[in-house]
Amino acid sequence: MSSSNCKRRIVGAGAAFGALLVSMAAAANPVPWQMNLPKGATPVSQQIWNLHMAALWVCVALGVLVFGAMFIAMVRFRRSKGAVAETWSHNTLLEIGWTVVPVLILIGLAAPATLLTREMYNSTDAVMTVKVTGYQWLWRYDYISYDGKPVTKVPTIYSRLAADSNAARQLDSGISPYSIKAPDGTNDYLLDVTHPLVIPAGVKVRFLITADDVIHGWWVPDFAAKRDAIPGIMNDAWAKVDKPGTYLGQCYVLCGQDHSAMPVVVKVLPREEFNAWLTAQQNAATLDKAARTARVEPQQPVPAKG
Amino acid sequence: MLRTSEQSELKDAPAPDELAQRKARARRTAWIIGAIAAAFFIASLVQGHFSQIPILH
Amino acid sequence: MSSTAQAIHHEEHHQSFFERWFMSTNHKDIGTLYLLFSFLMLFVGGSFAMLIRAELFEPGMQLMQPYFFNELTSMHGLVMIFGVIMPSFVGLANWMIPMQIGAPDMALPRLNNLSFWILPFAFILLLSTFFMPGGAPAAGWTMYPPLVLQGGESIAFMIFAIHLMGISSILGSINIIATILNLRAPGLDLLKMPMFCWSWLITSFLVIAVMPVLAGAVTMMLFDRFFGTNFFNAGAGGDPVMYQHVFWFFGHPEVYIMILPAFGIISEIVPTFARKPLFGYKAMVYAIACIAFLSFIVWSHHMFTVGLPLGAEVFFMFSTMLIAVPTGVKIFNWVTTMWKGSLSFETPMLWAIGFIVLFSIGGFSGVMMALVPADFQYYGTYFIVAHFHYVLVGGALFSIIGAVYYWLPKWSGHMYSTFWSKLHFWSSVISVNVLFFPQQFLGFAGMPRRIPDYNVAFADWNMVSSIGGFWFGASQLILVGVVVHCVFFSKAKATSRVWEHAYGLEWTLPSPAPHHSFTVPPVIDDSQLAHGDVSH
Repeated sequence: MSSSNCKRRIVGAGAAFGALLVSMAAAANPVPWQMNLPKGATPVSQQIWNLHMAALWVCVALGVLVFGAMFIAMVRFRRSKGAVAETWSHNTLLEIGWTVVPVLILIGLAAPATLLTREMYNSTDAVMTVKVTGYQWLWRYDYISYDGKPVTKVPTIYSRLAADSNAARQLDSGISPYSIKAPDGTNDYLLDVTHPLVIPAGVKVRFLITADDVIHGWWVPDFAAKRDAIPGIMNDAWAKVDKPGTYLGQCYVLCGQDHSAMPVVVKVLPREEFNAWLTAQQNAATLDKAARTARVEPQQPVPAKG
Repeated sequence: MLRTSEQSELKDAPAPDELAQRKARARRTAWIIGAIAAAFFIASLVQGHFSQIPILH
Repeated sequence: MSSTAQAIHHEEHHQSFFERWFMSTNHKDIGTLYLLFSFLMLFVGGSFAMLIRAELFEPGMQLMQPYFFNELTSMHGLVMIFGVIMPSFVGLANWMIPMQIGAPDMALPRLNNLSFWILPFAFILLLSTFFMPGGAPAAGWTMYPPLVLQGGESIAFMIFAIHLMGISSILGSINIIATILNLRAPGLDLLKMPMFCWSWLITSFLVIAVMPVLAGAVTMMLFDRFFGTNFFNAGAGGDPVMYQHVFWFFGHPEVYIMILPAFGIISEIVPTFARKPLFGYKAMVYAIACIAFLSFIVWSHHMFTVGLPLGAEVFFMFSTMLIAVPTGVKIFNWVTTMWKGSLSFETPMLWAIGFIVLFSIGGFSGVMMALVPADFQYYGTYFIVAHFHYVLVGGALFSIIGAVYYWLPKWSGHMYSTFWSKLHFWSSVISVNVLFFPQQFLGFAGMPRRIPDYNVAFADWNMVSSIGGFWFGASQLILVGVVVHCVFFSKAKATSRVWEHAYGLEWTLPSPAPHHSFTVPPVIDDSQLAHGDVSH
């Protein structure tokens, strides 16, 4: 385990829970002993994280109140200490109180949640649109439009589990999952693909999500972009990622035997780099079309009209 | 048919008439509730029959 | 009392073993059969869970192929829900409802026999799928098409098994409604009934309304798989999401079918050992009714990420959060029942307190996932797994075990071992948290559910969780020992009241309870009601 991971380790059960929650949330990819949601890399994921923490602390406060009252009752009103039971069984004021106060607390949580949901549903004005199709068991990415123009000649990306992970995950493979490392030394067992999706940083990217065989789920936790990929239905999600980098996710809807082996990897490039990459892809595609079409890949699905 | 065998269950009850009446009422309740259950089953099938993906049609 | 006991023996000697246990129309014997059956299924479903946790003990595949893992998760869910939680609540209802309302037996005894004996056959069908070509169904207990339709011929067996389970629980519920509405002792008004009867009356209506809907959903699935219909086939204009709507219209009330009787049990146990009337009896009844009603209008919170329209997301978020209010009322009422009581901590009380704490934790995570944006980050992860195991194991299962410890002396006529039953509690309550609390962290870290293999970042908490799992599983063996000892070997005779402050009609009968509960309708004395006199 690397030293940076060691820093994040919990030293004991009594460790300051809240401080830990906050420090771990800054991490981008899952880390050992992680205890909280990632803050993520988009304004939406950051707002969700805030909402999540607010709800968590409300629950902690209510828990302290209820369990605390119960604990005090269990200590103070023991028969072995000579406690004599009272006989009342009503208190109208109290009962109205604990009906109304929770309603107010819930409204306090639901109001920002409603506004945030509306924002998450607003996928208009996207600079780029990518179609995501789930198959058993890989992701297919097609660039649809960019900067108001349709994208042509960019080859479809087929995103399968990387070969080293795939070899290690076989029953009795003899390969330790701990030995599967990315170039930067972090472990990417089951979280690495042959060809990642590449998108530009700093602009709104819209994902049209569907599937061709069974229901899958496309999710990058750091983007808080998540929709079920359902055959015959075109869902959409969006993300505006400011910080370039590589972001990881996994299929989250049971899709058959290799459900655990269809990760989502999205490479976010600075805008100029992305433009250069896109042009290079278009050029390469023109030159290399024959070679590409010779590869054995799933057939083109018939997409439902959205 | 149901009635006779269930009445035999009651032979040691002190007020068989009263209890038999209640049991008859219970059987009526059971048929009504059973009919409601059957209606829910049919309704779910009918619902399934009329449902389709709107964008495809 | 001794003459009654002789009468019981006399009556029992008329029946051979086969007649008594296979042709029984007696509510107590059928209740025992239900409880024994669900006990057996607890260990069947539990052994699946042990295999699941063993495979998840560390990253990499060590024990089984991924497809077999999916078979295990699917069957674990089906067995635990339809084979353990639901039948054991029906078993408790069979035992206790006639005794609590002053009736001689259930209203429809032969229907009672039928509704139990369907179950073993249903589970033989279901479990036999493991030995079929293509294996058991492996699409999760939710059985979403199109994935489930890829399964082998065995899905026909699963569907018929579900039909049978549904018929069994519908018949059981019809019987409970008919009994409660028609066989109450004179003077026992509905609002004087014990909370357990109330919770089951309302639960029965939920069963009646939603089990047929599940039957409809799996019938359409059967037709899609074998008879060429296209209910869920998007390629022919069918709608896979429609299955999810139909399924969760069943599925969410089902959640409350599995927890409302638990509310009833806890409302019986807490006042007994607090020696104080149940706080807010009527509010408790209304809260259960309110939860039952709301359970019909929240189903899409299981589907927040399927692409519902914005308005639907917001509606289902609000309706879901509303359920927290009556549920909160119940928890506050239990705590207030304990406040200024005279508490003692016999085994059933320990399980009831464990229930309140663990169910509340599950309820808290439920409130968090009701928030649509937050649910987008939780959906499909181990946070969901932790949530529903807190409410189903820490909630429903704990209440069932508490009920067994509460009423076992009444059933068997003997006291069980205090030491071992308390050891069972402490071992279970600690291990269940070691098992499920880390799963919340795994969910936050982004680990999807239903996967047999995972990145090494998830390894540590999974190992902790697995250790808790084996510990919790082993702890349940203590329950076998305690029950066997109590029924067959215990020398300590139980009094008819059993617990010092236990009120309600069942405690006026001798222990063990006579074969027919109340052959003469009892006289209702308001001061002896289980929850205290409601008139003040």
